Amino acid sequence: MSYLANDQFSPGETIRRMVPSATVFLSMLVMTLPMPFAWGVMPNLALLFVIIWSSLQPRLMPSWAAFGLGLFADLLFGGPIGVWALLYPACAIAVGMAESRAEGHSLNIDWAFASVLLILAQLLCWQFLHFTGWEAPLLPLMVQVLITILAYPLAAVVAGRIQRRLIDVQG
Amino acid sequence: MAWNSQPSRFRGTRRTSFARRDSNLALLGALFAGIVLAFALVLLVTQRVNPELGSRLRGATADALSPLISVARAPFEGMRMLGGAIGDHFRVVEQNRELQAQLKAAQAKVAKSDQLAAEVKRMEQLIGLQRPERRVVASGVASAVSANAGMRTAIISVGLGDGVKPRMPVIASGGLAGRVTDVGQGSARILLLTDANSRIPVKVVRTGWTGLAVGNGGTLLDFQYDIASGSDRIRVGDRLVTTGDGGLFPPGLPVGVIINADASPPRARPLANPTGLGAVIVEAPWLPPPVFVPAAPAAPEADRKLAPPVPAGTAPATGAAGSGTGRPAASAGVAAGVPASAPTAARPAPAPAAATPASPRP
Repeated sequence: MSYLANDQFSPGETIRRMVPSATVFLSMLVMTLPMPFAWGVMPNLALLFVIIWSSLQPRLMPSWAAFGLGLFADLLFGGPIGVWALLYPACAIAVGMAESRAEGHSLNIDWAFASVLLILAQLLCWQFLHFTGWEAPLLPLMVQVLITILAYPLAAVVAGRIQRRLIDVQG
Repeated sequence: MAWNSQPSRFRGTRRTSFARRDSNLALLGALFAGIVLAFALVLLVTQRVNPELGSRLRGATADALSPLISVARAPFEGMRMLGGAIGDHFRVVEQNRELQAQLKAAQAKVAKSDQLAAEVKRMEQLIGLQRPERRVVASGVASAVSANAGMRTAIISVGLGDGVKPRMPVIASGGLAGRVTDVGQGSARILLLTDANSRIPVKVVRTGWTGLAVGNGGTLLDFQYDIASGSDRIRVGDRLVTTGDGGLFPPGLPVGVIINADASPPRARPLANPTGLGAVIVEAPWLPPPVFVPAAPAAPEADRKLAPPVPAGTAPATGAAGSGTGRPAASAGVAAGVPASAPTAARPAPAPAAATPASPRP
């Protein structure tokens, strides 16, 4: 962290550093797109990308960036402010702690860990909604979690490709 | 880190300083993460204390999002309409027969209801009933429901600039669609009636039973009602309309049709399809919330011997202020005309000091 902070960045480098946040931002917009489905069948892509990026590039998804993205998500989804602003950084921190303890990765282990995290996050979201006085039924949230878990490998592949194309290229 | 393993006095001291710096930074990072989390938690608690706090920001976000959605909804709307057109094409003969039968039944009903409507109007004129008028504020187009679990909202293309304000009812072609929650300058977010936060006072047209239509967060409504006396029961196909209770939704708006009467509570399907609202109108709240004016409660009549009871008079006065504007002024006039009761009848806060010397006077 220390030597990175002292480096000089070109504008292109700065843009590359914003790519993870930009993907989360874009997936949020995709989530709010009007879909002719009655149930919440859109996976929670933004949360998924927060988890994946904080595993792939922890320095490009710091807790404050996750907080800002979560704050925007709250405004965008029209819910009480603070729910995702709390859950995004919490997820990023949880992933960071797990990464510092566990070594070696396989897709299955990452997937299992992300599933647990997603379920916990949606359950907490449900509780927070109740805490702020919103009625939120559990069933649609759980359906969404299921679809989000199924979407994990796809999102991981997308994030991996983006990483190869935009972040790892030097100069 | 390979060079670290070589024992050298110079490098050794350097390494520890690096290590210390790293651990310090890690500690700072953890502290910072904790601060971020705490700040988010504070936001959440603030929302619990005052849910209205971020309303303007949400409206502004909806504003920024509105053009994007209007572009993005075009292909979906097209797909939906295409699907509908193909379905219609294959069912046209069947539909035609159905419609003719329905038309015949409807014509007979219309004749009867015209007669009844004229009768009701005459009766209302006779007793001088004043019905609040419905007023259309704006009409616009709604985007389809956003696929966001837990919240059933849609964005409509009219906002504060068109006079749309939070709380206003939104009506689609099929029936009631929901109400406005957040407004932006040129767009607004509406809470659909299928959202779990939505509660709409409704009644069953056939039986007159009243209850609440509560969204289940999916596609349907739960009709929550108290079991009324009598042997009748809710049937499949019973229509739910708004009652006008609460003063927000105008009475008589179609809300839903019961599709499962055995469930507890009975399930209803909303008549306005929440996944494709199309054009909607926004109306002003049907009965605007009363503006209470400080008025003295009605004075007790012909009871001069005893000191007038203080709290008994307050209840009828608030009721009168709600129903019309004429009566509070009249009651104030009455109170002013009876000097003995005027001080006690005033607001309880300043009253006791004036009331205690007044009561043992006679």
